[in-house]
Amino acid sequence: MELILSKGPTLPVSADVTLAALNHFLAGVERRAFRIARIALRHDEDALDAVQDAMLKLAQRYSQRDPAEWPALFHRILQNRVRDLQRRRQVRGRVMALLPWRRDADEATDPVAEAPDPGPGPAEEVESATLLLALEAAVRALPRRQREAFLLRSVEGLDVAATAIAMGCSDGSVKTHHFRALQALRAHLGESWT
Amino acid sequence: MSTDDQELEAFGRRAGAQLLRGGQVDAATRSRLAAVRAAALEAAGPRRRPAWLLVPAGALASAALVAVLLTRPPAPLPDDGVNAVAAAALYDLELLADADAWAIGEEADLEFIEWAAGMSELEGPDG
Repeated sequence: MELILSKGPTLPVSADVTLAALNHFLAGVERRAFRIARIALRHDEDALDAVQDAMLKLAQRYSQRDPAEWPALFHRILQNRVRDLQRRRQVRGRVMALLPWRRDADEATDPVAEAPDPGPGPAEEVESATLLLALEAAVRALPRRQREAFLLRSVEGLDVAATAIAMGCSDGSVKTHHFRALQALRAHLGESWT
Repeated sequence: MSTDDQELEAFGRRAGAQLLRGGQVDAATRSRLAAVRAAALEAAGPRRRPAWLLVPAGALASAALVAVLLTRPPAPLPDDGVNAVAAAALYDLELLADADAWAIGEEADLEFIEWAAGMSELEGPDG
């Protein structure tokens, strides 16, 4: 389904100009997009898949649109893809849970080996890494819409209108979700972040 | 906006900045992202010709030759009909396998091909 943001015609610009602008936009957004997808999915490969799909779809379907619309369109596609991957993972998890040999395999994993390794380093780095892990965990624990609003507004830096397009909801809903997300995060993280 | 709201906004900005700062993307991932971007730009580039248009004209002419040879009506059968049919098929196969025939196709001289097919039809498989 094509997203419609404006009724205006597509831009009468040359292909080279469009490609240069698109390259500039994608180069600027790709790492943040990967971070956002990774926080939601907790999996590098899935996050890369989501970013890849968002880039390809934006390029194939919306490259002739006004570049001012690209951020909202890109994140709309990315959020949809992240949601698809999460749903697929949930279904896969439910199916796998029914298979006895998979349960055995899961139980055989070593929780110590699986635990994140903050690595050696100065005390500040360790503390910073700990805070970051706590922040990421708190963001993941948010309800989906609040998490999307927080990531798009506070991490990606989209304004309310662009976030509303990306989330497919009204400006008012964005404000509400974002406000509640911030409240929940502050309550969860405590004094160290205030 | 109340003071509490302002503090909340400031907290959000700090948290967002921390998430971005803390999440270094390793070189391998950066490289893959760049490759993905290149693929996306390729996809957004000028539309390519459909794949069938990329087939060389010579190959199309060769296909036309094959079609002419396969669809032309069979020559009148002599008394030993079965052997004659087999001989005609062998002749056609020989023609198809002949490099010169493909060279003819490469030149895409369809009128000549039609003429040659007509002549072979008149002459029959025995020449």
